[in-house]
Amino acid sequence: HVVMELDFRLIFPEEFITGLLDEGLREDGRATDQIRTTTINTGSISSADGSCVVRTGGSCVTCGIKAELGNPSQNQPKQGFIVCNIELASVTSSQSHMTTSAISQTIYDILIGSKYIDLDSLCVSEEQLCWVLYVDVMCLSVDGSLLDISLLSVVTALKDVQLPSVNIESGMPKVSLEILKPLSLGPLPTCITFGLHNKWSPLVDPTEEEKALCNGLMTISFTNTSMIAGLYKFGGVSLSSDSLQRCMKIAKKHCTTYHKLIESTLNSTSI
Amino acid sequence: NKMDEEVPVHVRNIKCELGIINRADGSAMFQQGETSVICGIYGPAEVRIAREQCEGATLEVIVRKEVGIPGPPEHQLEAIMTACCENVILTHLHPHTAISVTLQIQNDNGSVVSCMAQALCLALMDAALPLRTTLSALSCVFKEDGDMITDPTSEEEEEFVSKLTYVIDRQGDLLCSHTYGLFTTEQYLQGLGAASSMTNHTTDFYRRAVARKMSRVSGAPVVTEQ
Repeated sequence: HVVMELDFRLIFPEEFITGLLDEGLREDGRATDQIRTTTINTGSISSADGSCVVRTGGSCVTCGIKAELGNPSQNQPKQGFIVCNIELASVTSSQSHMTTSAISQTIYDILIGSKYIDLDSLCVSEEQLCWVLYVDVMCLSVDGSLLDISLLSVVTALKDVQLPSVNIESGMPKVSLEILKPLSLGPLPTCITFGLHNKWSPLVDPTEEEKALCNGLMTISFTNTSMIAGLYKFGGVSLSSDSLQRCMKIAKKHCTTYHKLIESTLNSTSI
Repeated sequence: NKMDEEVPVHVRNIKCELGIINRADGSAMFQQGETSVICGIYGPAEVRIAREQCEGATLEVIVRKEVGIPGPPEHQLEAIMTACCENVILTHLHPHTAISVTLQIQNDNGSVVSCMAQALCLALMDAALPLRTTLSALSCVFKEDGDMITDPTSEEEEEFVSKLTYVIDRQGDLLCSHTYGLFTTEQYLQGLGAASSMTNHTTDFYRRAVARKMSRVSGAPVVTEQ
């Protein structure tokens, strides 16, 4: 009996998963409003100023942050820069509307819009010197929403960053490598994606195969101050106000889980 | 029924021109206040074998801003507009074809994303593509003191704490959403209520615009103003 099940799963993967979802069941036994277990490790890349690795289900992404000194732009002389870039390793497979470029932009919007990063705090000396943070997310394998796991890796890696203090002495920057300070960061944003379909209730944290069967995605991002930092709905079945409110409650609960996970990861590494 | 409550929502004057690009299968210029977007639709047309789908048409959406090379912000908007199209156009009626959509921002004086969604809907109707529903859209911003401004101009957008755009279908339900900044659940739902109540107003305008076009025999572009 077990052999036949596996053959069916192999030859007709869509029918297998659809059949389960029609009964409200998911392949890994989760409820439709449950997330998968996530593990985070920080400080994995010693040559980076901040880094972390995040794993959820079959997804694995690493984020590395390099800080360099640069000149502020003329339009914004009191601000530094943060440059987000997401890369999919060539062995990953991910089908989605959101190109990596769109995901990079969404992560940047959430970081700046939620005021997690205050670009003014990255400025060392007005018009002369500022920090430029290069945030690179390398996706080693994708099994579900790339946005969720990438944002989680970016916000955690930013907490891991330690910058040397820089002073301007007689017109020249003086960097003190012994004095390291973490970044001053605002409310912590994380996000949850729902897979939307006409017949099923919204699937929280869909796997890659579940995502392919859904006709739309919705991502909700909550900060640890219970404000929404982003609500992106990419088509799919239209949601009434009630369904939307239910999704918001579920998203808030799971984002809180992520916030606690980040806190406990950082506390355990600092010991 | 949320559409029966005519909540007074302030929006700028709207104007559209159907058939503005004569070589395209469908096109529309949609203007609200000073913000205007042109949408051109080409298709169903031949598709490259690599992108061919047997279940339905392949959609390609390009967003161009007024000046400059498209970058990540435009790609993000393309993702949203592609998702809009996929769930609005009955793509399964045109398998093995490509439908190509280009959205050109002519002038951005605030609320450009909602302007884009409405230009898209009008262009789809001008192209006579079969649609599941029509779209209406509304942008709003929340200021520091919690006040909501609907259909903001660029100047009003400057002082925002959060910027929200809702794309609503004919039933008044949320089809697409794009946000920036921090806001509460209540604020989001307040904006959503305002956007849903606009559905009838926008659909009446579309009806007038398309009726005017159909009543003209010549192929010249037709202008309709609010």
